[in-house]
Amino acid sequence: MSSIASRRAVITGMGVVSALGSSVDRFWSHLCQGVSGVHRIDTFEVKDAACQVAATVSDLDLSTHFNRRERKSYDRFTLLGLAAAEQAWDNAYLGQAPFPERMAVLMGTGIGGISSYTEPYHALYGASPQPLNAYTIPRIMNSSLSAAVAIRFGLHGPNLTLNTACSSGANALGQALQWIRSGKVERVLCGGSEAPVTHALLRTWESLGVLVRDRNETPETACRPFDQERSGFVLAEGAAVLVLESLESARRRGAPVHAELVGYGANCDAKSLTHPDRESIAEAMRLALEDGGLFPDDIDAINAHGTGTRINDPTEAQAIREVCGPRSANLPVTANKSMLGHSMGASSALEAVASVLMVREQQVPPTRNCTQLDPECPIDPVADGVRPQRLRAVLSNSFGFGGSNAVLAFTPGGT
Amino acid sequence: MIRDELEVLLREVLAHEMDLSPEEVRLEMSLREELDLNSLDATNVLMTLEDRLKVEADLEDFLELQTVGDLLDYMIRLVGTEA
Repeated sequence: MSSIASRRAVITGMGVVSALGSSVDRFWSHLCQGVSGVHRIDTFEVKDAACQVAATVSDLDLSTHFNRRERKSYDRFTLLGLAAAEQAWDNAYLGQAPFPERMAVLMGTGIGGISSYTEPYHALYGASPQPLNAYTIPRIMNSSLSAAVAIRFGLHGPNLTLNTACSSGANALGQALQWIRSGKVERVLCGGSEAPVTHALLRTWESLGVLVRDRNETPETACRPFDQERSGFVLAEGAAVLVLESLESARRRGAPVHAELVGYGANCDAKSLTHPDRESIAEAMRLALEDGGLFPDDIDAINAHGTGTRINDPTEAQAIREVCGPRSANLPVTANKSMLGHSMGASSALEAVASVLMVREQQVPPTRNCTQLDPECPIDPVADGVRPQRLRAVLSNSFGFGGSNAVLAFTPGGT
Repeated sequence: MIRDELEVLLREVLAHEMDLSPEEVRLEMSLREELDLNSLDATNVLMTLEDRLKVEADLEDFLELQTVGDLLDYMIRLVGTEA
């Protein structure tokens, strides 16, 4: 990656659908207040599950927001993502976009239309076999969100879907940054979406031993990144879409600039499908700094991957320590998943929106439930509430199964 | 199966597929403009009718039909029953 970008890219629009709210304002307000989006699961029977909590969207009624044709054609993950894209479009004041062939779409998802996967199995192998549904394939396919966004807004630029598990959204933004820098497109609608809260997925994640099992009666305390008593992550759904635009284009049309995406570091540990690797994480952080022309001392806060699993948090904290040195003991590190849960391919896009808001508002949201910092995590988890402070640059860390690390660097925008 | 029974079944299947009530489905309605059937909806409707009536329909034949009434006539021909 070049350390000097030929074209700069800024965020001119954002949209969020999450357990903390389905608008950017509600999302940010709840993040800063330390509100938990985690609750007991009531949409399917969970008696057989050790983990009975999740973080799902409660303030967006898909049955009224979308028309019959859209509800029939698209899986829940596509509808969540499309709702976020609509917000981002309006937030960027794109209206009737000029030059739609210069507008691209790049979305991330980990498991796409997973809730539609079960339909043909019920039809084929249920007690009484039923006809199959011709809509199942378009509902399942991972690329349906990217396609739906292009269809909705008439965008004829490159249209890709990217899957690097839980770093999908961050890699979508990073690749979009490369597209803008290359000069091939002026704007990219990029982000991620996931709707993985199904009985089968809950039980499957549980079998990996990474979900919280001991907090069913107090869901709001379930996810505890960097805390000594953390026991795993909370499954979540959500979507976030950002409009990434060349600075020239944003200035030309007088668009609002929320922040600048200055750096992107991506690598693979090439060691394990599931186990995070400190050295590779530290290297991805260094790559993002180098790409953005930043030094470790320029970073005033980090939006951590911070899942709340026994393995992730100390690995990440020690990587931060390796990159930022002794300063890391006082470096604010927030973990949005303590409130949002972990929405797989969407989580890093949601955290990118939070990071943009951090540099725009000059505030660091708290990490909820970190009441007793694990000594193996030598960072400042911002446990005592939202913290106003000067933020010259923020890193957003995301790591995916398969060893795919993606780190984004944001600065206050476009000056 | 007599024509009236087939009509009831057809209204039920079309209504289910298009998220309508059976009363909203009228014989004179055009399949594409008024009912808004696309090729995937048509495939689902045909698969359900084939399953319920134990017949084999042809999607290409179906796509040439214009109205709900045309579809009813087509299904009557398939099941070999005069009204």
